[in-house]
Amino acid sequence: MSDKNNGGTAAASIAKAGKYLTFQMGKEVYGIEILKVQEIIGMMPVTRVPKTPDFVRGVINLRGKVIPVIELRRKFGMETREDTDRTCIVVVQVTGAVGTVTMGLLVDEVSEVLNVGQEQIEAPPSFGAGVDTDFILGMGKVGQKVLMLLDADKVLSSEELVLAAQTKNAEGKGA
Amino acid sequence: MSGDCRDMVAALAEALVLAEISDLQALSGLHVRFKAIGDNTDGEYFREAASVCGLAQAAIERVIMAETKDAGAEMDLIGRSVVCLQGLLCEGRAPGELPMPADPSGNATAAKPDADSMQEADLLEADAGLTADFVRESLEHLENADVLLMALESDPSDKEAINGLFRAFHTIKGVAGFIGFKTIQTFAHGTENLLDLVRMGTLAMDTRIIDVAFAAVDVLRRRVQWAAARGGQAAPREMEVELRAMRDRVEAAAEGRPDSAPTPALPPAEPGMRLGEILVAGGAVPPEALEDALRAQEDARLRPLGETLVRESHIPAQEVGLALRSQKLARDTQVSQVAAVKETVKVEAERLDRLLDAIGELVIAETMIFQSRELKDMGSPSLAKQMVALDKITRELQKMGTSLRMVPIRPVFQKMAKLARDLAKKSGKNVEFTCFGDETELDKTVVDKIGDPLVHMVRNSVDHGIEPDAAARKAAGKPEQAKVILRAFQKGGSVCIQIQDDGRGLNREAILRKARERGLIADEGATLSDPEVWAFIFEAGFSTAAQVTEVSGRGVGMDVVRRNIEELRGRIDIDSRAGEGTIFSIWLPLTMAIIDGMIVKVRGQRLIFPTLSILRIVPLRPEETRAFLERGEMVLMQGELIPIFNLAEYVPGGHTGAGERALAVIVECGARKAGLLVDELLGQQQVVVKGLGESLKHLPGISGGAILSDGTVGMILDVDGLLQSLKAAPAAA
Repeated sequence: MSDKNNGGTAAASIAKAGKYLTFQMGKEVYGIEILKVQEIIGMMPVTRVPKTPDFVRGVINLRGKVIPVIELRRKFGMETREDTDRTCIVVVQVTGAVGTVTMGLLVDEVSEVLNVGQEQIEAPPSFGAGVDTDFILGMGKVGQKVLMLLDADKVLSSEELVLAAQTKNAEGKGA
Repeated sequence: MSGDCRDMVAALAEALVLAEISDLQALSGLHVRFKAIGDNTDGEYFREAASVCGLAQAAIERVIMAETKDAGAEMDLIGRSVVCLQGLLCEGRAPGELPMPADPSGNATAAKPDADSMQEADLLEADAGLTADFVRESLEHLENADVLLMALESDPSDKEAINGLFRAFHTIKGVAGFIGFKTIQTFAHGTENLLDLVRMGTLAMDTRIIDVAFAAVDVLRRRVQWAAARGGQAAPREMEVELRAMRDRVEAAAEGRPDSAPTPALPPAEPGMRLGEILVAGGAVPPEALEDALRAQEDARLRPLGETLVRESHIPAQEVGLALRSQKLARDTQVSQVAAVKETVKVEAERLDRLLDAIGELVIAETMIFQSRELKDMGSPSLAKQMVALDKITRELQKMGTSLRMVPIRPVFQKMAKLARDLAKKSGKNVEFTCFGDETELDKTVVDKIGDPLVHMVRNSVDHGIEPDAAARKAAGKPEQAKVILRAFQKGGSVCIQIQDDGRGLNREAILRKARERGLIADEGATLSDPEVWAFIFEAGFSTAAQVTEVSGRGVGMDVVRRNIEELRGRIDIDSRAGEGTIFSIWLPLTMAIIDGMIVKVRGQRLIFPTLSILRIVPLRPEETRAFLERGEMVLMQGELIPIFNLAEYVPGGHTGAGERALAVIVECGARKAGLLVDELLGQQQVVVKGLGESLKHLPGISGGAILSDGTVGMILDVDGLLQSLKAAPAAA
């Protein structure tokens, strides 16, 4: 499963220049490639789904399509907080092992779209083995801001939305 | 003149001795000689002689263009023509004294078709609809097989792919068999055998077998397309040759003999390709040679290109002949395909789904507006009128949306009737097969997928269910004629398809014996209830048939049947009495898109039970349950002990306080029952089923989501999976 590209060294694939949608979680600013973003919607009722990891907030009805919503705070192991009126859902399309999947990311607040040039991007710092930085493609420095540029496909590798400790229900059913 | 004629006939006889069937150049030489004799005869019997020449020319043309069922017979006719000409022109004998070749306009003399093509020729009278269905289905299976083979290229150990591949050929074999396409049936059967060896692990899936299977798929596809274009007409000779050669390759692969490399053939032509293009595409002629030839052709004023190429000796004549055939085949296939296609509009399933999604959302939005207080407060009569109109249109749209995908099950039933008749004939049993309710409508995806399982089940009934002969039935005190009934009816939100026979019934002992052999049970199984025993027949490879026959056995069947039906979110029940017969009931959702749901509340969250899986709902206080080993709870209901699970444990978050837990939803899963505690019942409703997307596909206990009337999502429970996952966790009291 481990990706050879991520030896923790700077040899990892680095973020591409381009437009990034930036959003905040607490004091940290993150960027996600605008090409992956389908839309941004306000908070709406989310239905909890049994047997999913705690970072899956649940599912919502997006104009007749049911899509999962990931609570990024939990996903990144940050402390959780109540939703505010600025909390919103960024709908992204990510490419996983199973093809393209539409998902929602629950973030504290969406800020703006920034143009990040190649010269403004550097490799993510290493914090040792304790901190998983696999899904950070690079750090963008735009003016005074430091953005963490996310690899959406990695953050949301779709296989892990269902708890591993499940009984495989498809084939494992007895007579 | 007559002297010339004599010489010509003598030369013709010589040429005929030297001519080979496959030597197109020699054949066309013969053609020229016959034509010359026909044009130049004189003497007493010139008319007869000319007509004999005409017949012979026609026969040669048929051989060259591969329009004959039996080239050998055509050659015989040509030979007889020469003998006749010798008699008429050289010896001056009267036509009456000679074996005059008859006019084969009905191909009566010309063709001595072998049994196979005879069979297929009869098909001209066969039901065109059946053939069309067969062709469509087979092509789908073949396309599937191609995909699976590609998967096997990268992972030869992919069990699922091997099984799928095997099933594709298995199904084609079965269907071809009962429509009467003997050649296709035998061919598919051979390939199936090869794949069966791979499936059993006798042979390893290596590149060679993949190559052979790929080639077999191609050959079979061409053969099926020919059947599509020409119905029951016998296939052209080279197609038969190709098929036979392929069959040998398959057998060689199965027996581990070295592979006879396939003879290089020109690629099949696309309709509308020109002869030159076909030859260049097949690599028979270099492009520059073609250009030379085209120029030479212009100089020679419209001499056919093939002839020019041969004269310029760029190419052996045989190649040109093959290319011509290929061109003709493509043209014929195209022409008749155009004729046979019904006018329908094919719409991508995804677009249809998006339309249905949009309609669903429209209905929800409209309902919200319609019920909004602000609108009522306005109290404007005209607005109210418009709203009613809008409401009507929306409902109409909703109805149309759901009916878009609905088709009657009739074609499937017709196929089954034919299958049952054929099976009865083959096995020599006297069976009366009747269908009821074939106008019942189901979702198209359901109708498409229910064919395979039904084929297996009808076979099962006729093959194993009905007694082997009339004597056995008499001995059992039954009428000689056995009955098999296929029925479909709608009941609430689901459709039931039943296959009933009045045969022997399932043999409990035989099934238990087999189950012991397979290690499914350890003891005598005396404690098992009948339904539990019957359920064993759905185990993979569980065939109680003593031998593999052409129509069943092999253990392909009931496990596939159950899997197919579960994929359609249906279930299958068996009711069987020894000596009286068996009823298989398949319960299917009316559509894949809508289920009848019972909405319940647990810890403030809404969950949806498919109404189909609910036996009853009873009020139940926690104090009414009995503890079981301090780990589980049960309740005594109508003399049955039913385990009770608390659904609140399954639901994440929500209210932490214990709810009322005042109701038990009693569900049935297989032959076992269970009770699930819920807080309250919100009502019954038809809900539109939505997938939760790829990433949430394998949730235990959840089959999908539904968009409820307020626009939020409710989880639809899958009772089997739910019970499995609840059993894994001990219920807290």
